[in-house]
Amino acid sequence: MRLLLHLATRYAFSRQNRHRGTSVRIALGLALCLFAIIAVLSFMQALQRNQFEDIRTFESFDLQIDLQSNDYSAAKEAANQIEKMDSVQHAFVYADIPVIAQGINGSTVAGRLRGIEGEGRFLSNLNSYRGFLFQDGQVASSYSNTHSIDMGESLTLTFLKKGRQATVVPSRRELEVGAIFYTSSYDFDISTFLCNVDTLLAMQADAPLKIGVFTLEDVKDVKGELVQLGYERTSTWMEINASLYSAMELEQKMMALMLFLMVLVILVHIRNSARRLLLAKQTEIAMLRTIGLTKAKVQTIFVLQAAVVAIIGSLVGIFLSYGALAIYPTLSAYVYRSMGVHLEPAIRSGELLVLCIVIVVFSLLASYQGTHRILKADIMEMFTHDEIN
Amino acid sequence: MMKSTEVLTLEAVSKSFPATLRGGEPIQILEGVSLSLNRSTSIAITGRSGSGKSTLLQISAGLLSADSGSIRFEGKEITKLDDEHLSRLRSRSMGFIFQSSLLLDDFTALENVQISAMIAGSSEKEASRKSLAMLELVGMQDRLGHTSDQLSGGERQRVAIARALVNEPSLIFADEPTGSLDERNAALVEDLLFSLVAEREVALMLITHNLAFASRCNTVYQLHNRNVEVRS
Repeated sequence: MRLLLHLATRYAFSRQNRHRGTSVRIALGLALCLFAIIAVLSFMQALQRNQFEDIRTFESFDLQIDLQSNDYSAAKEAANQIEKMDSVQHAFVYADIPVIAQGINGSTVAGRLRGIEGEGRFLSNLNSYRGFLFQDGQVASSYSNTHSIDMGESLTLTFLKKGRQATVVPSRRELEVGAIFYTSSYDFDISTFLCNVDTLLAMQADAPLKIGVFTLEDVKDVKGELVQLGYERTSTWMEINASLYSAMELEQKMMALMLFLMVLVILVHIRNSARRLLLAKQTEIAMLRTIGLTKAKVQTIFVLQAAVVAIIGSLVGIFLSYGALAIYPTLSAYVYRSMGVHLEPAIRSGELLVLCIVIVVFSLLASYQGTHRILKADIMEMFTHDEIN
Repeated sequence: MMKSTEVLTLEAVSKSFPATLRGGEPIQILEGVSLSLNRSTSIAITGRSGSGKSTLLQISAGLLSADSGSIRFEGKEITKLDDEHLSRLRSRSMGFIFQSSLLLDDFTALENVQISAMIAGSSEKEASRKSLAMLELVGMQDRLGHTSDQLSGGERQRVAIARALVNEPSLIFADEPTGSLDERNAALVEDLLFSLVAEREVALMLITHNLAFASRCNTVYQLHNRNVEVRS
């Protein structure tokens, strides 16, 4: 066995090996393929995680409850009651109304005004750029909207309210911009103005009140508890964003398909590489057979050689992946500038391990099958033929 | 254990090859060839190019399968041996020298001989000792660390001779061992081969075009019309 291992390592990467370059190229090919898969996987997962995180933090929270009444104090009491549940982290009252905002230069933005008791994850992830958020009688405009509105300027908000003769009538209010904020969600920033609930109710007393809920538990379980408490109009963030969620699920499936194709490319690379390595060594195989090495031992040598090349290729791939992850923080500013998102890519060691095992096992199989094919021929045929198919 | 006198016996061996890689009418190369070779004797097979001399050697050594006939090596029918037994026989009882030496290119002269010894079952230390002794015997003690491409044709053949003899085989198969060497180197290799074969009481099956070289063997056969005839 020692002799076989010695021959295998010599045939893999030894300096004396004339085909060392081939082994190096094969190992590098494996490493780059593995790195590409891991990079795509971690970025796509980070992107999805980021999008889901933004949706749950700013857009729709983990759960939201449509209240039957517009009674603010009753709503606050209900929020307090819900917050006492063990599974709930935070519960708070909020309301959204659609508005058209006009800056002093006349440019308009269609969006929403959200009156909220800023709390928990929502508040801690909201970045106050200038001013003080949630001041009485003022709105906070997102950083993106400062193209047309600045701090201290008045914002004209047009919205619909109940009329006496018509069902709804347009109404207009001017509010001072008291703060500028930004979040990690561009979509949220360009469409949302913030104020406290009192300010919003002062503009539109019949605005439909809701309770937002943050939880660390499974949202479906928490929904079940809330329904049992009588809050039947409770929706999870997945239900509220059903179409987006299903699009994301589709994206995940497409990603899985893409990764499968990438793995397929790796497998084809491995098969061709094994073949190339073996063909390069065909005369040596014939010589080893002539001086008395059995077919099984020849096969063992080249399977071991393939294992050495595949393991080294995988290790280089793992090194490249973790290396890229380590230097990513220095590139994250560039990613944010070009993509507008703060990504936190992570490598799932389980997935990496499975990929490495697939690569090594397939390398062994490809080499086994390749030597098996070559060894079917008579020894002298191996000497005389350039290539045995 | 006392070894039998008869080392190799061929009886009615025939071999044909397909005319093309895709098949077609087969070309008969050997037909009913019979010969035998005893320990410490040498035979030479001569004949024109393409007459089947190398094929006969390869079949005798089990490197190529015959279509029919019997090949007994040290009393064992090699056509019936499985891969493991045949491989063991080749490693311990046969030695090979080819025209182009066919050393393992990625290995040094010493390693080439050593690997052959280790395949035959010697420990690393024992293989090293035997290989050094053999390489010294063929005058290659100063070239131990040189790989195939750093050696001349004559030197490569001397390493091949050392490799062929390191396991003290009963029979050496030599296929045109001086065919690619100049006159001086050919003479050196010839002398070395015959002196070692005589000294170690090894049988020799030599394939050559060179009649002078062939005449140094006990028996010279000529391959003619797909069969062998005793020439001298």
